[in-house]
Amino acid sequence: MAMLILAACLVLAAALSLGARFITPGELLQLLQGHGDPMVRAMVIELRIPRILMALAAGAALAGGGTVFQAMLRNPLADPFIIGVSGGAALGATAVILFLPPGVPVVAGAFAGSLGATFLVFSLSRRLSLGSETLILAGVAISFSLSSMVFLMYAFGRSSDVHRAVMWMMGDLSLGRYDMVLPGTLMVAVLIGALFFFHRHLDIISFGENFSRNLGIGGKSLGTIFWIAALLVALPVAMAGIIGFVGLMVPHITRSLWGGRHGRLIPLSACTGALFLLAADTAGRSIAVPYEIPVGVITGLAGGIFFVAMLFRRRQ
Amino acid sequence: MTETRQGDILFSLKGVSGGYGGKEVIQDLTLDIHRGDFAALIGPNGAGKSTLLKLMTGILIPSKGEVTFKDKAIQGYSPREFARQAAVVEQSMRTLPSYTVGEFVELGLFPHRQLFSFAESPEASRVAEALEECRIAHLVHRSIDQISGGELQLASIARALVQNRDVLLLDEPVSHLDIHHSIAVMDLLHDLNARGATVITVLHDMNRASDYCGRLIGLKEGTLFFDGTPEETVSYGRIEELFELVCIVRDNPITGAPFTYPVPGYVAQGKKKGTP
Amino acid sequence: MITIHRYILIIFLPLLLAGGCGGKESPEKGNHPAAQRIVSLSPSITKMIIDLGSEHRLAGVTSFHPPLKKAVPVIGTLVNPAVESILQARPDLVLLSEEDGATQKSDLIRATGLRLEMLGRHRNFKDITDNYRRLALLLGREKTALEKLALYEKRLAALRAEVKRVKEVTLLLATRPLVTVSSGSFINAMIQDGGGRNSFHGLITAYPVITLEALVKKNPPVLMVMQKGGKKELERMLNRFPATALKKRNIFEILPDTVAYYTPEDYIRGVATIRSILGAAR
Repeated sequence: MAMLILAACLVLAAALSLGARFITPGELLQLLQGHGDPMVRAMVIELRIPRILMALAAGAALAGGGTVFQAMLRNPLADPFIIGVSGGAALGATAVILFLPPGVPVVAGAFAGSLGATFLVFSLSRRLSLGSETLILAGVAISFSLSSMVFLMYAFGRSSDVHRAVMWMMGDLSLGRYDMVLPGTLMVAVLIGALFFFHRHLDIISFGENFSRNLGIGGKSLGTIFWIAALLVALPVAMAGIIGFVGLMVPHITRSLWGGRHGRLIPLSACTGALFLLAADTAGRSIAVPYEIPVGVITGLAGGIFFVAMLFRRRQ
Repeated sequence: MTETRQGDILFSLKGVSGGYGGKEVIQDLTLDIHRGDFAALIGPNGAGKSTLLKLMTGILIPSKGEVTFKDKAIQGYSPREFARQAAVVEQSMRTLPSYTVGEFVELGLFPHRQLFSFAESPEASRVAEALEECRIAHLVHRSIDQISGGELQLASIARALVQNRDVLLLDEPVSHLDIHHSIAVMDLLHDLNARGATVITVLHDMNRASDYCGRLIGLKEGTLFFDGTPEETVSYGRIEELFELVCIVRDNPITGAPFTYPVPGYVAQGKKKGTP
Repeated sequence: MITIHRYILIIFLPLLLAGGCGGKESPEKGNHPAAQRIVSLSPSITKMIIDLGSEHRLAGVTSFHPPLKKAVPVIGTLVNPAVESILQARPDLVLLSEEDGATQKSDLIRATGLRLEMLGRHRNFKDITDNYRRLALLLGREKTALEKLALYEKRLAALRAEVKRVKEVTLLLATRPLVTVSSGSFINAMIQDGGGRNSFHGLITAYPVITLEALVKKNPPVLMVMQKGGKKELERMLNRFPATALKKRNIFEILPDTVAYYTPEDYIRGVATIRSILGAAR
C-alpha cells in the first residue's frame, strides 16, 4: 500500500516535469508562487495538468469498469470493451471525423456511438438471457459488425481524415482541456463511487450465477451495475479514444496483489489504472519529442509483455 | 422420526413443465409442499431433481403450468424478496479466494440488509450459531479456497441457515461429506424441521432419505413416480423400477425406516431377480 | 430511483461533454503587427511562406516539409503536432490548414494563449489564391503576394488559352485500389484548367475508389496515374480489355509531388503538366 503511494508521487512528479521541455521542481515552485516564464506556465497549466487529469480519470475509469465486467462476466480475461463500447465509439467518432465539419466535437459522436452499441448488446443478450456467455457473444457479434462499418467509412473518407480517425482510435490523451476534463473527472469519480456501493454484490456475483440469484441479486440489480460500468467505460473512450489493455491487465494485477474482494479491488484498481495510464502517457509523449507514441500503443505493448510473463508464470 | 406434518401449502406446482434449451426435463408435474414438510427428492440421474428445485426457486421459468410460493406466483417475487423467505444450497459453486469462511457464511445476511446502510448487522450471533451447528466454527478465519469440498458444503449450509431457517431448499447437501458430517447435517436438518422449518432436499442416498424425511418424492424421467411417507413408498418393486436395479427392502434395526439393499451383480448384467 | 438517475446521466452527459468542447472560436479581430515567428502546421503553408519570401521567419514546421535553406525545429507530424513543442518555439502566430491539418487541436492551441489562424479548404484555384492572399496579409507581404499572383494568373490564363479541344481524362491517384478524383477535389479544377474533362467528376466523395470494371466501362481516351510505376501497372491491368487509352498509348505517369502541396505555384505546375500531357495525347 505504501508502495502505491510512493509510486503515485513519483509518477505525478515525472508527468509534471517531462515533456517537450523538462520543467524542474524549482520552476514548478515558481509557478505556484505566481512568477515564472509565461510559456512554461502555459505549458504546465494548459497542457500538462489537464492531460494528467485526463490520464488519471481515464485510467481509473477503464480499470474500474474492467474490474466490474470481469466479475459480471465471470471471466478474468474479459475486457470492458467486449460489451460494444469501443466498437460503437469507433463508429461514432469515425463518422464525425470523416463526414462532419471540423467544429463538431468528436466526443459527442464517440459517446453516442458507445452507448448505442452497448444498448444493442444489452438488449440482444437480455432477449436471450442476461447470462454472461450470451453477453460476451452478443458483444463480439456487434463489435465485428461495427468495425466493418468503420472500414466501410474509411473507404469513403479523405485520406487525411482517415489518418486522423485512425490516430483517434489509437488513443489520444492530448486533447484534454479543462472544460471537458473537469466534468469528465467528476463523472468518473461519481460512477466509481456508485460501483463501490455494489462491492458486495460483485463479490456474490463472482461466486456464480445461481448463487447470486439465490441470494437475491436479480436482473434489475445486474442491469443497474452493468449500466453504471458501461457509462464509466464509455467516458474515457469518448474523451480519449480506444486505449486497450488497461481494463484487462490492471484488475488482474490488482487481484493478484490484493485479493479478489471488490471492496478493496475497486478503489485499488482505479488507483492503479490511473497511475499506470499516466505513466504510459508520460512515456509516450516524452520519449520521442516532438513525436508522440500513441498511448494505446504503449499499453498494448505492455499488455503483450504482461501476458507473456503470465504464461511463463503458469508453467511453474 | 418419520412423521409428516400437514401445514398450509408453501409451494404449489400445477401442471408444470420445464427444462433447458427447449428440451423439457420436467413434464406436467403437479405437487404441493406443505409448511413443515421434510421432503426428499429422489430419483436416478437426469430425472429432473435439480431442475425441479430450480423451477421452485424461480431460476427456471416453466414452459407450461404455474409455480406458486405462499399463494403468489413465483415470478411475482423479486429475487431479493424470495431470498429473504427461502434459502437455497446449490450443488456446486465457484470460489472467490480471500473470503474467509466466516465472511462467506455471513453472506447469508445479504438479502436482509438495506441497500445503502453501512450499519453492522446485529445478527452476528446468527453467523456464530450456524457455524457451530455445522461444526465448522474452527474454520471461521480460514480462506475458503483452502478448505476441502466437504467443508465448503458445510459452509454453504451454514450460509443458508443464516439466510433463512424457515424454508430450506438443498441440492445434494451431503454428497461430499464423510459419514460423520453426513449424519451431523441430517440431524441438524431434522432438528430444524422439528422446530418448524420446511426442508426440501435432493438426496441421492435413498436410505438417508428414508431415515430422516417424512416425505419421499420420487422422480423418473421428469414425472412424479411416487409421493408419500417412506413406509408408503419404499418397496422393492418400486425402487427396482425407479432405479433399474435389483434389491431387497428391510427395516433399519435402529430407526425402523425401510432401507434398500441393492443386490450386487445384477445391474451390469441386466439380470432380473430370480434368475441365476 | 436509480433508473431515473441513469437516464438523466445519459441525456446530460453528452451535452456536458459536447458543450465543453466548443466550436471554433471566432478569430481575434484587431490589429496584429506582421508575424515574426511562425509555426506552420501544414507543409503547403510552409511552402507558401517560402514563396512569399518569409522563410527566415519560420520557427517550427511539420515533419514532412519542403526543402529548407536552414534547419527549422520540427514540432510533430501533420496529423499529430505536439502542442508543447509548438509552445516551446515561442511563436507569435500558428498556422493550420483546414484542408489536411490537425484541426482537432485548434482549441487546445488557443487555450495556451497562442494566436492560431486557420486557412480554409479549397476546391479550386480561387480558393487557393484567397488563402495565399490571407497568408500574405498575416505576414505583411501583400505587395509580394500581389506581384506573384499577377504572374500566376497570367500563366494560368495562358495555359487555359492553349486548350483547343477538351479531352476526356481519368486521373488515378493509385492503382491498388483504383482511386480517382471527383469535383469534390481541387484536382478536378486542375484537370479542367488543363483542358480535360474528368470522367468521374460526378461522384459523391472527393477521392472515390472505383472498380476495374467501372474503369473499363468508362473507357477514357486518356489515362493519367499519379503513382510511381503506375503506368506499367495499368498497362498490365487493362491488357485483356479493349481499352482505348491503352490502344492509343495514352497512359501517362505523373510524379506525385506536384500535387502534394496546395500552393498557387504547385497548382499552376500541376495544370501545366496536365496541359502538356493532354496536348501530346493522341
